[in-house]
Amino acid sequence: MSDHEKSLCDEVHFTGVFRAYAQTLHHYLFYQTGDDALAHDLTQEAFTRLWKNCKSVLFGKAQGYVFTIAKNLLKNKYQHQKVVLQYQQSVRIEGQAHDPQFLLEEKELAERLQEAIANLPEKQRVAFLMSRIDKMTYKEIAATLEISKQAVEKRIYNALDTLRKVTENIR
Amino acid sequence: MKNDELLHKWVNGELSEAEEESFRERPEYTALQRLREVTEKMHAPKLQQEALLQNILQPPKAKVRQLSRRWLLAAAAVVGLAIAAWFLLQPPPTTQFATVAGQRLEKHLPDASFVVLNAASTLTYTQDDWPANRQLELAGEAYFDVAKGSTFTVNTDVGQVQVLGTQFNVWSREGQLEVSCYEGRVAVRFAANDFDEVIKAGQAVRLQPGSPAQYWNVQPEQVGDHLLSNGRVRLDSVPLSRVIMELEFQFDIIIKPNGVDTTTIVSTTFPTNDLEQALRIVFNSLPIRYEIVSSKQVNLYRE
Repeated sequence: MSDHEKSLCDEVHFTGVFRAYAQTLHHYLFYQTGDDALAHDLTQEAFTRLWKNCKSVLFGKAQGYVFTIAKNLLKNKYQHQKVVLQYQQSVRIEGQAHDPQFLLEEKELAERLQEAIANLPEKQRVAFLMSRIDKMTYKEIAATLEISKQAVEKRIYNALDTLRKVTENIR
Repeated sequence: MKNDELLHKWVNGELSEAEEESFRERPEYTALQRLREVTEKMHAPKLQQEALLQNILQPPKAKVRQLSRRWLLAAAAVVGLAIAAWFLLQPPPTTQFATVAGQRLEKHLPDASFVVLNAASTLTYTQDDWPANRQLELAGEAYFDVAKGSTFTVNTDVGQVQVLGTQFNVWSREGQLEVSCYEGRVAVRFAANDFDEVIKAGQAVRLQPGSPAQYWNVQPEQVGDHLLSNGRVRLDSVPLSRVIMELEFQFDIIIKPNGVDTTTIVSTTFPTNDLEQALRIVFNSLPIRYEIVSSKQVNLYRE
């Protein structure tokens, strides 16, 4: 069956679309707002509307649809919160224990990076985290954000340029 | 150098061996590599997506069939009669928990949600409606830890609290409403003042007819402190009248203020098993004397 014939009203297809894009949408909203609960609610709302309007949305347009809905909902009501990622410090790498000094330095570096990431311009932050945390390719990011691949390159370049200065200053 | 091809290849792990070698020569290489190592250990919060999917797919959509207008009218009449008969003959079974003065009750609701009911409070709900329609009626005070699912609404006689998140406390007595949100977000509606706002984690609001809303902060890590901690009541920045009311409910007594100023704002934590100690803790720091007249009555005097 081609994408053209797939109906979003079919629970199987809807579920497939949901599993493919829900986490990406949630992270996108989180990177923008720093608000996990809000990102969760808006993801739910966007997909609920997709499910309700499953007849009028083409299968291939589903991702664009939920992102557009979520973006519009976001416009009305939100206050920025600081984006805080979870940081898991590795105790050892390849069986080799790190000394406490190293771990301490790394923790400090992670904190400074968190701060710098939170302070990045929103567009740079979103593109950078999609690449770094979600391991999305430039092509995927471009398609998701509906921008050109060059724009993705520019945003990530600028983000890296800012962030590497943070790591440069420590050691 | 926005079109720095090597850099972007490095980001996506697409460098060939030769390219890798020349990239390493760059002065910023160490910093970039360090950046990669550290961000490698960072994560964004994970979406509980299967639970969310179930929320969206259920309740299943009703099947709609076209009926002719005449049939529709006839059907409506029959349905109307049936509904009337249902209500006359058989009110929907409701579940009710109530506590008397001095009592505190912990209950699991029909889903995985959890409630702690404070003294002299009543909680009512219609079990059949759960979990699709989670509605509760509350008189008094309760702390809720809400499981994810459909909208969770607490109705009180003066307003409504609708949950968008998960952990919150509702206090509704004598026409006033007080809501503290510990996690997530809750929508609070207070009819008398036409109040309709979303309260976020760490916020609390107190509403009484005719007065502007009062806001203050609660610590998310104090979650349900007030009701979950054993044998203690904790009240932060509340009018003394509220503390007196709480003492009355906890110990089943009547407190006569005798002209003491009960609008003073106080913060206090008192035990619920020892009246004398509780009175001492509450009133000794204030210019107020108290006298235990009987096991049912306490008088207050200005010092």
